[in-house]
Amino acid sequence: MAETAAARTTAAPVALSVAPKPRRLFSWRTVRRQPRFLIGATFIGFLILLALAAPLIVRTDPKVSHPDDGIQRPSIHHLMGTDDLGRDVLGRAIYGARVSLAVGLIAVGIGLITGVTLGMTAGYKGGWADLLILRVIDALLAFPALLLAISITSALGPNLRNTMIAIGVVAIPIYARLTRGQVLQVKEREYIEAARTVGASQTRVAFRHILPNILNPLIVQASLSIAFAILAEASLSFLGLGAQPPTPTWGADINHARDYLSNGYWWMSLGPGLAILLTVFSFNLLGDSIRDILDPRLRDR
Amino acid sequence: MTKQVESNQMNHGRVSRRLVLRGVAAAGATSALGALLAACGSSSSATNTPKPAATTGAAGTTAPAATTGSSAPTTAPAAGATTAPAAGAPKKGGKLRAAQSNENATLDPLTSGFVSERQAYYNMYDSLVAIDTNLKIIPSLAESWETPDPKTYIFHLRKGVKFHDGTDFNADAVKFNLDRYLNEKTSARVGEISFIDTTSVVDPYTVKVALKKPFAPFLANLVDRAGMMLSPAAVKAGGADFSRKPVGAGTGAFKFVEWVNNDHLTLERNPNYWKKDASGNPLPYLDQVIYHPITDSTVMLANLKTGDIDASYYIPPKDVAGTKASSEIVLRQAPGLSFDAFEFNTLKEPFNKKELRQAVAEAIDRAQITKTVYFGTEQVGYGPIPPSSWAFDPTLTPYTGSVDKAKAYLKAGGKPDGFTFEYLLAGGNPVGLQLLQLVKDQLAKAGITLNITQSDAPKIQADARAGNFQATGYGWSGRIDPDGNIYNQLHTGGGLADTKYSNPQVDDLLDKTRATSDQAQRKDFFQQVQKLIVDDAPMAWWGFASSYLLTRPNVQGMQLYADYIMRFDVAWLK
Repeated sequence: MAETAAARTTAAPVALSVAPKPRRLFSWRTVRRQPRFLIGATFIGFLILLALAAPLIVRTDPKVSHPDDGIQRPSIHHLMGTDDLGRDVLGRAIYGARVSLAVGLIAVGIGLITGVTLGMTAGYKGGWADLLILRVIDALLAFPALLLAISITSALGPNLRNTMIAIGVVAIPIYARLTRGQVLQVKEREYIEAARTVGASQTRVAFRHILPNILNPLIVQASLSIAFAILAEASLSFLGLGAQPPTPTWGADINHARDYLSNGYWWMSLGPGLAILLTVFSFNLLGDSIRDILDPRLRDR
Repeated sequence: MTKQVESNQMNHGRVSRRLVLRGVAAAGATSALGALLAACGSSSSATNTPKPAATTGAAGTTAPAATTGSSAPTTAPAAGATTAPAAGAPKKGGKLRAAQSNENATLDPLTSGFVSERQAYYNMYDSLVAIDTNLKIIPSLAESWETPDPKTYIFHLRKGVKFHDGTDFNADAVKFNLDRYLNEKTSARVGEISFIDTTSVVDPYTVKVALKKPFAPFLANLVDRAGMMLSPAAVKAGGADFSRKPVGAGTGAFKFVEWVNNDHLTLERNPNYWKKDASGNPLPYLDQVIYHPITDSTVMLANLKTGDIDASYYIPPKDVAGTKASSEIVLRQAPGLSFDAFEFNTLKEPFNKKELRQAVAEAIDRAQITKTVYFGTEQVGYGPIPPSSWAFDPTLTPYTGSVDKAKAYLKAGGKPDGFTFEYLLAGGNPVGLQLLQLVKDQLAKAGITLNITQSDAPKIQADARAGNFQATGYGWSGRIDPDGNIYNQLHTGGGLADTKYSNPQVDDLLDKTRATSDQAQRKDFFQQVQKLIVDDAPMAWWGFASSYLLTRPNVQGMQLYADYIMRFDVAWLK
């Protein structure tokens, strides 16, 4: 007994020393070798700045119509022209960033937190909890993502908050599945066993030892699903289920502008179109590059 | 909601809330919804009109006041000068592809709920009576009729007419059909002919209809679905499938061939059609008419431009001017039968106060709406009776769009600082969206806050019916008789009375319009009613849409009707 106890105590530090050092996620050296990361991060940073500073940059209220200035080509007064109600297209695109970024971050936050908690519980606890959670997740996954978001928003009522909730809920199964898989891999590792052996509580093991070691794929997934969330918000606004007009949102605006393409009023779709394109592209770049940065197999290449 | 003409699903003709769901460019996912939402619909109308409210646009508006019709169809100025009647002798043969704003739900007039379904009906089925382009009621399957007293109609039927299945059209068939529309449990026609007491066969070609009480709009209602004559044998043979395969059922210019849902409906020439053209040649000229449902009017227009569609009756307002100038499409435009309005729940805060309804009605700048949202294609209006009607009142201009007056109304209503309300808007309708954002800003100037909540049209319709709303839009496709634009909406307990408005004086006057058939007297009653309801403002009427007929330049012989139904019996292809 004494012997085994001793063996254990000595074994523990050994096992722990094998545990991966909490990685420094980013170092200038790795980041420098990832221009995609720089481009993506720079644009997103720029966008966040724009969104925050919108009232300072945009002089006119993007919600108020000026019927007499409707459908004007791009000019020095309106860099991207005006829409059919005389509102500045660029101004609406800048204000639209507020909605899109908010939805992107908050919806993903909801999905991430709920999904990870569920996934951890399922993976770590196993047994009936695992079964139950998995069945619920499977049921959620059975619906096409956007259709599910539409149903949820329709049920809750169309407004921005509910849009965020809907998109967040849709993202839950992805995170839950991902987390559970990772947890199953990690929890059999020796350093976890060691932590348990020294008497760490379940929560401590889960959050101090497992979570940090499964974080990488989650970060990658998060950056990618922000792009999805922004597109989903655009789709929902398009259907009238997102933020209600006249709140500027990229999705609603590009939908509206689309009708005018055949009339030759191309500039109306320019602002929201470019914004969606660049933002989603940037988040994808970011996600991709973070994955590469975090992947040890690629690191030394 | 708001905009457009058409549709209606629950009751006989109900609001049209067009919902053209457009395919999402940004992000898929719509297809499922498309089907779901495409509910009603129709074109977005728009219009241009006669003179009163000086709208702009359109060179070729028709005559000033009342009549509609396209006696002077507007064609594209120079290029498309193809409409002229003198385009040579009609040629026989050819296929014509027509656009339709919604897919049909049924081909049986008995249960029809979409106004757009009538497009095919009018070409397959004849009614007892018809209208000309001036909305005058003319003989059709009934060659003549008499009304010995206001409660009795005797129809003398056309002889030698056969249904497509070869059976004879006669008095028994008329009785069969009227009884069917009146008594069938699933009938959506009851409201139009509920005053029929008995229908009796006098002889094989004479039918007597006794009414429970005088009902002036009776003949006008028989022009439409309630007067369409179907072969009793075909109805019985069709059984449960009849609404999808009405084989041999009509007497009309074209026979049913096949209907593939969401793709096409094919009709072919009826070689035994009873109508002849002016030179005595048999009608129709066309071999086939094929309807394609295209809910997105922008897509429809593109199809028309490329020649994949030959004829249509709807167009986005923003495209009217450009289309008129185009040589690829001939566009005819005239005042229609429809009206556009906002409706208020008169039982609920804040619109249970008349003054607050008036404040909104006053604060709406109608001219700005028709100019900005409808590009001058729609006419400013204040009541439910459109300029195409004989009962139209051009002097009715109670609201001016004045912010000061609106504020005075607010003060009188006890809300000097304004108030906030929720407006239910059908999603997926770009014109409606634009309209409401503009109106929101107009009302804001008077201190009234309008919050838009989008929802799907069927839900809004149900909510409106149940009184579960504050304000929403109301677009009505219109009926030939003014009765159809006003009675069911505003009479206490009317079938379409979402507003729950009730005014005994209005009820009394409306009943009087039905009791007499003297048009001058009816006109007087209608105009009195309009003054009352416009002042009480259970609805805020703001415009009248046009009726359109769009064709490829090689389509000849067609005429524009205020009910925007494309009648292909006289159409031919050059």
